Amino acid sequence: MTDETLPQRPEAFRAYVRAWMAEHYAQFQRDWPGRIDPVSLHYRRAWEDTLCRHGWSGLGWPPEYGGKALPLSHQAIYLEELARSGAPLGVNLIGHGIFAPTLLHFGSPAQKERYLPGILRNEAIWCQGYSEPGAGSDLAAVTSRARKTDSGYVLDGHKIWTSFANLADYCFALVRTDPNSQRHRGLSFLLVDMRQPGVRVEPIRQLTGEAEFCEVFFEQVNVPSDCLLGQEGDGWRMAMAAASFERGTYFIPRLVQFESELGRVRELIESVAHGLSPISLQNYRQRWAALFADSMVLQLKSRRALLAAMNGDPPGPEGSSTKVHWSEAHQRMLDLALELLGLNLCAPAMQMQAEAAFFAHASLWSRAETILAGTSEIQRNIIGEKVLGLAKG
Amino acid sequence: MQHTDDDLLLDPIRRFLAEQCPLTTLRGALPTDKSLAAGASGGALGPAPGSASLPSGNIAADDTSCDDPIFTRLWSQLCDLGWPRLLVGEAHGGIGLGMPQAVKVMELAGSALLPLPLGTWMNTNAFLSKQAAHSPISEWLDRCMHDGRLAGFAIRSGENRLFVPYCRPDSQILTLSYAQGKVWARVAEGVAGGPGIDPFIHNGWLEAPAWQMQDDFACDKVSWDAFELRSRMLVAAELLGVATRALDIASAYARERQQFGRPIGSFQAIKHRLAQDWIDLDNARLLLTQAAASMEPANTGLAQAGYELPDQQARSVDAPAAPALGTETPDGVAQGAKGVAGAAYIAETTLVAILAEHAIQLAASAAVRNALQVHGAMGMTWECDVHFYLKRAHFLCAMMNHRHTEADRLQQVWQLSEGRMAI
Repeated sequence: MTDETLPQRPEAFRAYVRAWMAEHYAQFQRDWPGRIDPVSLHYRRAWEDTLCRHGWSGLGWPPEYGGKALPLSHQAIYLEELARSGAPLGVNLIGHGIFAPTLLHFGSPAQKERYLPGILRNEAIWCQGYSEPGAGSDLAAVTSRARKTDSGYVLDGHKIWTSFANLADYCFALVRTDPNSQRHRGLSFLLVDMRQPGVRVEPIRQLTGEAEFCEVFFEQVNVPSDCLLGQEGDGWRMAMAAASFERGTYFIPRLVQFESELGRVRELIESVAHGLSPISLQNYRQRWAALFADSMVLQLKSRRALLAAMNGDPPGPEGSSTKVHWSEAHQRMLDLALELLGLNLCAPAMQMQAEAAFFAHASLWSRAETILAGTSEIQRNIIGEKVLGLAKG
Repeated sequence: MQHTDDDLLLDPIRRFLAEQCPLTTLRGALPTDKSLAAGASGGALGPAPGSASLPSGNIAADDTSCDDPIFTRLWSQLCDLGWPRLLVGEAHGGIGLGMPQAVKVMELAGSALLPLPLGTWMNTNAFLSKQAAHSPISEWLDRCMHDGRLAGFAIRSGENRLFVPYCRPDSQILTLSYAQGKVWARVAEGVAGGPGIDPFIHNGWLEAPAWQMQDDFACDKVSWDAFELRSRMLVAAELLGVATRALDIASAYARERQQFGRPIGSFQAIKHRLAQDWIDLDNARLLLTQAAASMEPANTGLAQAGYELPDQQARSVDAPAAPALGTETPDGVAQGAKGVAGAAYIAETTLVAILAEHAIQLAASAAVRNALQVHGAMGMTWECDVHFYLKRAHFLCAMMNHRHTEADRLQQVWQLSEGRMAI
């Protein structure tokens, strides 16, 4: 892909991306040396590297940093078509989706020059150091502490649930720089090199058996002063802003996936229909239909969020509503799939193996979706407080 | 506190499960946990050794064989203690436990995540000893129990397909079916299965089995139906136990875990979620208790109707050729006045059993999911116990639903409750 070849009109752009993905993902699969395992981080990274090598990164960045300055509408089309191709998500999602826009917004020119090229080429993987053992839903309870020195900071702390930390070259960490501060004040954003003494990463085994998120320990880690992002003490505001940069696009790949899985669930219903009583079949179809309605509404919500982001409207509580709706509807859908699989969940018969493996994994993993990035409880609090003006609990 | 007969029965069982079947012991049988203990925690890339490589077709987090001897040892201990014979009547050398106590035993088994088919053998031992004492099949089963050998069993799923839960390559498999006024018993060689969504339980399919033994005996439809209903209640009871323990674990966590300067259980979003689960599980237990009580002949019109099993009429039926798997006679032989009483008994018991199944499944499904949610990200870890309860609930729900879905149950409730509403 070269910049000149990118069509301007949305429909033409979509057709171009679709054709490109179809061709190149098929090629990538053909060229893959081992067994194709879309869950494997090796595989996901290799595909992400391929995308970046062909210029599918920095789509929204300004040209001076190697970006394409595509409007948000085109970025959304890209993400949608990427997901439609059936290719898995990459491993530098945090780098491309959250950190890069945050850096472009808050970083110094020197910081942008230093960090953006690595993300553009997918050579530098980023992770996000937010949660701690004592600061999950209550993120403002962060206790990781950066002590000021002549040359910068010495960082001590313990982060947890850090996705991709086992691959990461860098971490942007929310830490307390003012030892006397409380809650949201006195927090800062540090850009920490993960490949240095004092940084220890321990993968956490998930209930699915994989280890995708990690614990990160910082022990006397030196962080130079030019690795402070923005102003000291401004960390909380930047963390909130960082979360908002994705608001127009975060759900796009997830909703494409939702729709594709919903199609598979429909096929599952049809494939087991002959063994069901008429009333069971009807019940399953009705539950499927309700999920179809969920899918439709979710897409409308996603589009509304995209339009708001394109207008530059301040982020509102719509993200909380979509998060709750998507995660809970997804769990309902996967519960339905598991019911349809029945005993195949316990010992899959030959023709059911692929579907049983896929849905069992998806269902177990989906339990995380009402927890990560703000639990359903926190999201409902946000809606209650910000929309309805209810008192804080 | 006053000690009841139930305490005398249940306390030793509770103690045995706590001592011999703690989750740490069960975990010790899993390759995933072994590799964690060995310090090989995942590595930089990809799933941990012995863990999910899902697109290749494995659904379990442990795809290597969970052949730890603890399962056979545990079963052998249970046989020594006589648990699988708890429901066998005193006349047949058992202790004649009733269903009301049996469901409590299975609740405890569920709470402990006992990965063994205790409920099935409690019920099957009682059934065979009563219906076909000294028959070849009864003697086969007695030998299994006496030797402490784990026997498997198969359940029909769809046409000509037999699903074998809790299977082991060296465990012979019993399958019972009912047709033409008879119970048809067959024994097949064991099959090697694999763990499904529950890593502790291996399951398989019995394809084109070579029968090592075949036996049949006369049995009236009412007795057979009662046998099946009891089986269903024991599985439901086990699920209730699983969910109840999950709620306990979640409540303990919500009392301890602090966020925003106080225990998370003080937040209504958490507190109400758990309180609702308690209400629903308690409701479900009431229905289960009622269903179990209704299965005691003394509590039904059955005893008064002079009901006894099996009757001579069923016995006199000419022995037909063994029916093909999957055939089933719609209704047993005509049984006169006793048959009418029996049918009424089954209808009544079925109704309350279905209500119990329905309530337990809804309440338990919610409770195990909520237990995970309340643990937050911690609940997503292998290290935290709560996922084992979710996975066991998936397994037991699949076992419960293989013949009836939730919609079927509600439909049956609609039909069986006809004429019961006072105007």
